[in-house]
Amino acid sequence: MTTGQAMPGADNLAEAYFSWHDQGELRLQRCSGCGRWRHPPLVTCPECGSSDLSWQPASGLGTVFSWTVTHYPLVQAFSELLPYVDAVVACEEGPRVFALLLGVDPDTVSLDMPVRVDFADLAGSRRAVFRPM
Amino acid sequence: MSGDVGLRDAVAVIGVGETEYSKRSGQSPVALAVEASLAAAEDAGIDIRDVDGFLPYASGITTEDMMANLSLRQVTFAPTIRMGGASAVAGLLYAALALRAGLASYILLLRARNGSSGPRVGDRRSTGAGEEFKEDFELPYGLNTPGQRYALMCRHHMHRYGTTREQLGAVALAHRAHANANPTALMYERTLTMEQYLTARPIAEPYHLFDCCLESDGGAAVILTTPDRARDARRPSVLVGGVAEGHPQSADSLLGRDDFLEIGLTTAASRAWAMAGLGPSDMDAAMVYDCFTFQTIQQLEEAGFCPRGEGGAFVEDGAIGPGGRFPVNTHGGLLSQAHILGLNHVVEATRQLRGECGDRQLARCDAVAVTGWGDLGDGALAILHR
Repeated sequence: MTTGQAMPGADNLAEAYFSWHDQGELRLQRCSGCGRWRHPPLVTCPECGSSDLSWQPASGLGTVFSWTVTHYPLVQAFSELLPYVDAVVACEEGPRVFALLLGVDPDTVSLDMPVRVDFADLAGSRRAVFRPM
Repeated sequence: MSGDVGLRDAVAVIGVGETEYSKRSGQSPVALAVEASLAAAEDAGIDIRDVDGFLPYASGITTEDMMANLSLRQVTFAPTIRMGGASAVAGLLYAALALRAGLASYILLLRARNGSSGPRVGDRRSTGAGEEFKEDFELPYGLNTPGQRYALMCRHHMHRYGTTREQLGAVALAHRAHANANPTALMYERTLTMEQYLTARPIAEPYHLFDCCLESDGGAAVILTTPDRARDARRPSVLVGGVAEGHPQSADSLLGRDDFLEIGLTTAASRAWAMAGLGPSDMDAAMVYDCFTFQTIQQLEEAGFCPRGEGGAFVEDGAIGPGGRFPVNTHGGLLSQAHILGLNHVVEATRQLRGECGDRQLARCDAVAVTGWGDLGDGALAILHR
């Protein structure tokens, strides 16, 4: 790691991704070799092959790329949230992330709807979520 | 044609067998497997003990289970293909390789499960590709089942191309109408109207109850051999003209795909068509891995039956139902026959090509395309012909 923030939990990329949420930050992998942003995280950059990837702050701005509204208790820890909206959010930097969409009537979500990151307690952990702008 | 024709007609389907499909089999998966295998051997006119190749499902009956319970003399070829619901169709490719290389003489392709009375999809720990990713990045947001993931693909397509719920409903109704003509289908006696479809309870929107495939108990088996040996079989043999597998970019996750709608079938299709020397317009029907309604539409597009974005219109007005312009899943599919991991699609294609389908028999059936889809991205296409 030669640039940017040291990567926490380098042996577990998911742990690293969520460790920033604990601190109230959305960070995404960025390649020091070619500058491309990347998610989900990998050990090498698929664009240039560099393994010099670091976690950089994302703007937290994005648009809704797709979504599903879960009405059935498919995950017990989320039963109290039913119905809840899971979205694929296209971040301003390029990569897409999964997140819960809060503060929105499920029937009014639309493709390309602008959203902004927020943080909420989900099943006992602080997680990045998105809300309409 | 190019060198891709190498495995054209390398495999003959000489026997098919199925158990009863039910919600509660009252038998173990091994017992279902034995019953289906013996039925397939009987259909083929071979002694089951002549089977020396086996294509098991990654999380199911093992080679050892079958060697012991079928008294197989020897097994010389038994790869595990980890492609989820695409494994049954991809298995035809591995059979082609093994038969052409002389590694085995009679290969048993088998699926047996208690998918209804045993652990349900939300309870089972998947051993599929990308499971670690899914647990790490999806479960923290309440995403844990195929229905939710596939719904995300559907929703994007609906908004990008204008695909409607009524078009998804056309898929559900066509499958149900096919099943209503197939006594082996779980939904044989249960009709479905568009009103019932549209007002059913939501599961993971845009998917409602009738967008989702069945969870069922049962077993299916297929016996494969070389075209030479097939000449001695009891029934007319069905040949695998072309078969290919494909894996999309970022196979384990929807997030990393530059082309959100690209699936394994997208790249497999052109290779399978080239191998067979046939194209979509040569097909009399298709058996499509219909885990959810939209995925039928998506695969019709990606296999080349219509351009991307036009699948919704393609399935309207009963076009893929009984008597339609292009029948799809004449057995009722995973949506209305049973979920036997797509091997029931290979069985149905074989029976249609042999002309054994009774009330649902297609008037003309010389070639049928069969697709498989598993683990969110893996795909396969086979072209079966008489």
